[in-house]
Amino acid sequence: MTPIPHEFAISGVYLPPMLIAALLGIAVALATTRWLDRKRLSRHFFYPPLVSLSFMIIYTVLISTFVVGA
Amino acid sequence: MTLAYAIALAMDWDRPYWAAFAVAFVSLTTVGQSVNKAVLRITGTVMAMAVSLLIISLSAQDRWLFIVLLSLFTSLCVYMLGGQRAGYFWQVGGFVTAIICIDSGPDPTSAFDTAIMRGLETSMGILVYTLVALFLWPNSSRDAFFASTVTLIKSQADVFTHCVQLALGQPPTTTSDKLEAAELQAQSSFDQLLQSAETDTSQVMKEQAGWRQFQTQSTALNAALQHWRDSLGDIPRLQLAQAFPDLEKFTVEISSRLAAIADMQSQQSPRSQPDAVALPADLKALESLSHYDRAGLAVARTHMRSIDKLTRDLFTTVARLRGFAERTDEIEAIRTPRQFALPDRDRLIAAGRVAVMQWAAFLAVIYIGDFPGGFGVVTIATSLGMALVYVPGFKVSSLFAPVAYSISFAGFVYLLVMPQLSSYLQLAPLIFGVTFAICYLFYEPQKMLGRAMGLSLFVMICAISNDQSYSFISITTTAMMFVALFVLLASSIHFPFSMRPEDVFLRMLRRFFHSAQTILDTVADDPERQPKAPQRWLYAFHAREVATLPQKIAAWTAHLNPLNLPPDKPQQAQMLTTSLNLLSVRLAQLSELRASAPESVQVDLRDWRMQMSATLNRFEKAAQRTKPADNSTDPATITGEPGRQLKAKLAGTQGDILNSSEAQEVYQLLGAHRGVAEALTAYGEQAQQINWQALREPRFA
Repeated sequence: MTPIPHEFAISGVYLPPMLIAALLGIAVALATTRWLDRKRLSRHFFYPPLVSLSFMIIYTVLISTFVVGA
Repeated sequence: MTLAYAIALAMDWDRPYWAAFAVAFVSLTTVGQSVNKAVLRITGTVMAMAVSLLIISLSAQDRWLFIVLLSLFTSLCVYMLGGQRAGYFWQVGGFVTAIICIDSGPDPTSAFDTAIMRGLETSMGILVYTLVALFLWPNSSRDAFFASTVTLIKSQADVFTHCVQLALGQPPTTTSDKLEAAELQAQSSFDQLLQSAETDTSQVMKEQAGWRQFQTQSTALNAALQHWRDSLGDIPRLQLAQAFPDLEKFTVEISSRLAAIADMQSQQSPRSQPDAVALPADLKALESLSHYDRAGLAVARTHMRSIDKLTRDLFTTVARLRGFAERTDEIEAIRTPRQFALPDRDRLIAAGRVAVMQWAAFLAVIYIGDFPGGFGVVTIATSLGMALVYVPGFKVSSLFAPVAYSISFAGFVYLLVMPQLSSYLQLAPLIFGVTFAICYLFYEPQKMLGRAMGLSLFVMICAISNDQSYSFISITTTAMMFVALFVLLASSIHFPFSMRPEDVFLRMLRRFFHSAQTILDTVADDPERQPKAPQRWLYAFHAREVATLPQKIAAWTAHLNPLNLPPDKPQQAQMLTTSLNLLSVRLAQLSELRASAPESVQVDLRDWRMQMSATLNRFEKAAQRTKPADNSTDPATITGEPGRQLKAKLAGTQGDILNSSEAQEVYQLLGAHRGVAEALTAYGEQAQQINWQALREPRFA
C-alpha cells in the first residue's frame, strides 16, 4: 500500500511533497554516482551525465511513490 | 552607494538600485582602474540601449524571434568578451541588453523608458563614484606603477642570473618555475598598472607611446630569456662556455645593463652605459663537435644576441623616458600587425554554452507555471553565465555558500532592520555600513565572488525605493530562483559540451597535437611557391592554436581530479604542460625559420620532420578515449642529422663556421629541428608518468 500524499510544514511554511521527493532523489542520486566514481564503476557507462539524470528521475519517482507519497 | 541611492530616490526614478549596481561594480583599487572600467560600463550600456531597442522593435509581436535575436547578440558578446580588448564593454553590452529586453519584453511600449532609465542611472552612479574617487579618497596608481617597473626589471635580472648559472654549469640558487612565475606576475602587474596609469598619472599619459614601447620590449625580453634558458637544457654542460670564450664578458655586461635600467627606473643615474658584445666562436672547440651540437650552439647564440639587442633597446627607452638621455625623435606608437580573422574554438564553445543557458531559462519560464523569479531568471542566467563561462574548472558548489550567506544577510536587513527606519537619514548609514563592511571583508581579489554576491543580493533583495514594501515571499522566491540557476549552471557543465576538467584537458591536448602536426606537414618546402589565401588562413589558425593552447591547458590542469594523477607525483600534470609549452615555442621557431629557408636546405630535413610528425600523431591518439595510450618517442625522432647536400654545404664554409651566412642558415634550421625533437622527447618522458587510462575514463564528477 502506497503512502497518502501530504504536505510538509516547516515553521508554518508548507512545502509540496514532490519538492521533498525531488530533493531526496537528487541527494540519493549524487551519493550513488559518487560511490560509482570511487569504485571506478563509472567507466562502464557511455555518457555519465545522462545516467546521472536518469538516477535522479528514477529515485524521485521511487521516493515519491513509496516513501513520501506525492 | 549612499549618494547614488540618495540622488536616484530624490529624483523619484524607477529602480534606484540600478545606480547602486553601477557603483558596486566599477569600484576598483585605483582611480585609473575604476575610470577605465567606468568608461567601458557606460559605452557598453549605450550599445546595449541601442541594440535592445532594435531587438524589441523587430520582434515585439513574436517571442521566438525575440529570443533568437537576443541569444544571437548575447553569443556575440560572449565571444568578444573572451578577446583581449575591452572585455568588460562586451560583458556589460550583453547582460544589459538582456535586462532591458526581458524587462520590456512583456510590455514593449515602455521599452524606450526602460532603456533610457538604465542609461541614466548607470551614468549617474558612475559620475558619483568618479567624483568621490577623485575628490574624497584619491588613490592614484603612480607610485605602484613606478614600483612595478623596478620589480619587473629585477625579476628579469633574476632570470638572467639563473640562466648564467645554468650556462656556466654552476648550481642554480633557485628553481626555474619560481623565477618564471615571479617574472610573469611582475609583467602582468605592470601591464595592468600601465593601463591604469595612462588614465590617472600625467607623466605616463604624456609618454604613452614610450611606455607602450617599454612594455613591448620587456615582453620580448621575457620571451628571449625563456628561449635562452630552454636552449641551455639541450647543450651539454660547459660546452657553451668552451665554444664562446666571451660568455663571461657577455653575462657581466647584460647584468650591469639590467642594473642600470633598474637604477634609472628608481630615478638614479645609471651606474654604466651599454657596451658592445660580439660573442665570437672558438673554432677549435667547434670543430670537435658534431653538426647536431653545433646547431644547438648556433641557436643559443641567436638567443644571446637577441637578449643583447633587447637590453640595449630597453636601456635607451628607459633613459629617454626617465630623462637620462636627450630625445632625438618622437617615439612612434607601436601598431599591432593586422591578422587574419581567426575563429577561436574555446570562445565559440563559451558563446554556445551561454546561449543554451539563456534558452533553457526562457523555455522554463514559458512552460513551467509560476517559475520562481519569472523572466528575471533569464536575465540573471545571462549575467551569471557571462561572468563564469571563462573561469576554468568552475564548480557550481563554490557558489552555494556565498549565495546562502548573502541571501540570509540581505533577508535579515530587509525584514528586521529596514522596517524600523522612517527616513533616508536613517537608511543612509545602513547602506553605508553594509557596503563598507562587505567591501572591507571581501577586499582581496580571491574573495571577489563573495563581494559581488554580497553587494548584488543586498541591492536586489532590499529593493530600496520610494514606495518601499516588505514581503517574506520575495526572499524565498529569490532563494528558489537561485536553486533553479544552480541546476542550470550545473547542466551547462555537461551540455552541450562537457566541461569536466579531464575532458577539456584531453580535448585541448588532441587539438594541440593535431595543429602541431598540421604545421609540420602542410607548409610547403619551397618558399617560392606562395600558398593560396585559404591555406595561409588555415596555417595561421593552427599556428595560433599551437601558440595559445599550452596556457589554456595549464589553467585546466590545476583542476584535474587528483585521483587520476600519480599519487606520488601530484605535480606531474603541471610538468607535462611545461613541456608542452616548450614544444609550442620550438614549433613556432621552426615554422618561422622554415618560411624563409630555401628548398635545398629544407629537403634534406624532410625525413626527420616526417618522423616528428608521426610522433605527434601518436601523442594525439594517446589523448583519445578509444586508442591505446602510447606516448613513446621513436629514437629516430631525436637522431636527425643533416643529409648529404647540407653536409657538403657545411664542409665548404671557413672561418667562424657559425657566422658564415650559408652555414648559419643551415645550423639555424637544424637547431630548430633539434629543438622540436628534444621537446618531443621531454614531453614523451613526462607523458609516460601519467595514468592515461584513469584520465580517459568516463566519470560522473
